[in-house]
Amino acid sequence: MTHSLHRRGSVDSLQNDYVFLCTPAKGVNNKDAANKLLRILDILMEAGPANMGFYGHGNMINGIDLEEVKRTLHDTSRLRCCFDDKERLKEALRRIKSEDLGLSITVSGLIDELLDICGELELEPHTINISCGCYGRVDRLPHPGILEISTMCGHGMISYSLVESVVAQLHAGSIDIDSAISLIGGPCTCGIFNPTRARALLTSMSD
Amino acid sequence: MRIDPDICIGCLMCLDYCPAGALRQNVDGQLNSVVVADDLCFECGLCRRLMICPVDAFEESADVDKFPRVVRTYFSNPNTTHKLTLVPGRGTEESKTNDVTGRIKRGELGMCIEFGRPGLGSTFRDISLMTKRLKALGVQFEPNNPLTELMDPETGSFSDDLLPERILSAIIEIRLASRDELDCVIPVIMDVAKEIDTVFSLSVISRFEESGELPVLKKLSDLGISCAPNAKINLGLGRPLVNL
Repeated sequence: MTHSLHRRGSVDSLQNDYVFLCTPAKGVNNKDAANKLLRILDILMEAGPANMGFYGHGNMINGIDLEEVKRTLHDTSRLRCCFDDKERLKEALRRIKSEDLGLSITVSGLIDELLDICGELELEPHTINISCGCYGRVDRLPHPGILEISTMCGHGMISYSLVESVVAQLHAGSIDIDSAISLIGGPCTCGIFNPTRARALLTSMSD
Repeated sequence: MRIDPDICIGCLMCLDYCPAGALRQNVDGQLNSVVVADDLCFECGLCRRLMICPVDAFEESADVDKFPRVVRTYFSNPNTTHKLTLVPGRGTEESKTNDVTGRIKRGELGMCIEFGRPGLGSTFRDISLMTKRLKALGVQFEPNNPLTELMDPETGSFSDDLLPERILSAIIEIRLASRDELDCVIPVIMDVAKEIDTVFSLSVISRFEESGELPVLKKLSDLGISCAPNAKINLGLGRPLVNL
């Protein structure tokens, strides 16, 4: 999941794209964390994430049984989702802060925007993981547009060939954009693939 | 992963999904089937997990749980939890819980060198080119990391049978005692970048100063590293908070 900080794209493209993670720390505060995770999950769902996913359960794009997810959450489970709206993210963070549930929260996104949010909510950001670029055989990487879409999966499950194939099908008119988003977003088990951003990127590529 | 040739109907629906590019149309006799290129497969399990095959022709390879091939699953399948770290995915917590673990303190830095990302994958042979050079520099590898566990503590290399194993990605995670150590580490990292046949994504983990500033940004800039406008930020909501 480290890769959520390495999402590719311009500042414009990365606006309204926030990856939320909640992580109990093994051996530190994971004891009895399941109930806190359940509470945070409820807060997140009320705020309205653009996508959310769980290992073994899939993601919101292709359907997920949240009641089943709740039954299987345990003390070292993690919550992962993405928001496509700053106000929704802020609402979730505001409530999580006010309930002081004590689990670590990270958010990936534009640094300036995240620091603004911290200022508004009187949060003191603790640690940053800064993306310092990609090195080596960068000549083997595909078109930047393909990378912008595929790097929205933090575990690299969205292959370049899948994005290229779906874009070609869109160009040919054999699928619509909703199907395209569903096809590409399906492999991202963690649910941090942002369908709203994908729609914008795919639309601009189709143009 | 393998495909049962007696079940596969050659619909080719699976071909584009493979992050490793390991699914191939069989042109060796049985034209109407797909095969898995064993050497390329990451064992990430995506093809089977997604249930894209209309006839359920995917099945695990016989050696998927045997060393050394088992490392492919550990470093490629996000549904796998590492036995060492109890952390799923590639098994590291990096900055995610630093507010309660205090692994990286003010003045110190963490670095993550994620081999194979984005999208190309890596062999341990390529990873070892970096780990050996970093070991020679005397850097401290994160102990609670599955890659460190596999590493020879004296040389920073891996056993010969691991070297050809191909994985989706692995994170070399190191700790620096001060920003000044970047002066030695960054040139080595950039040097190794010229030798490898894949890519890596580089990140630096830093505490915010009490003033909210991040002096490491200027240091990185001075070393010719341009940082992305996006990052991952730990919001300091974990308890008990470690404020060192």
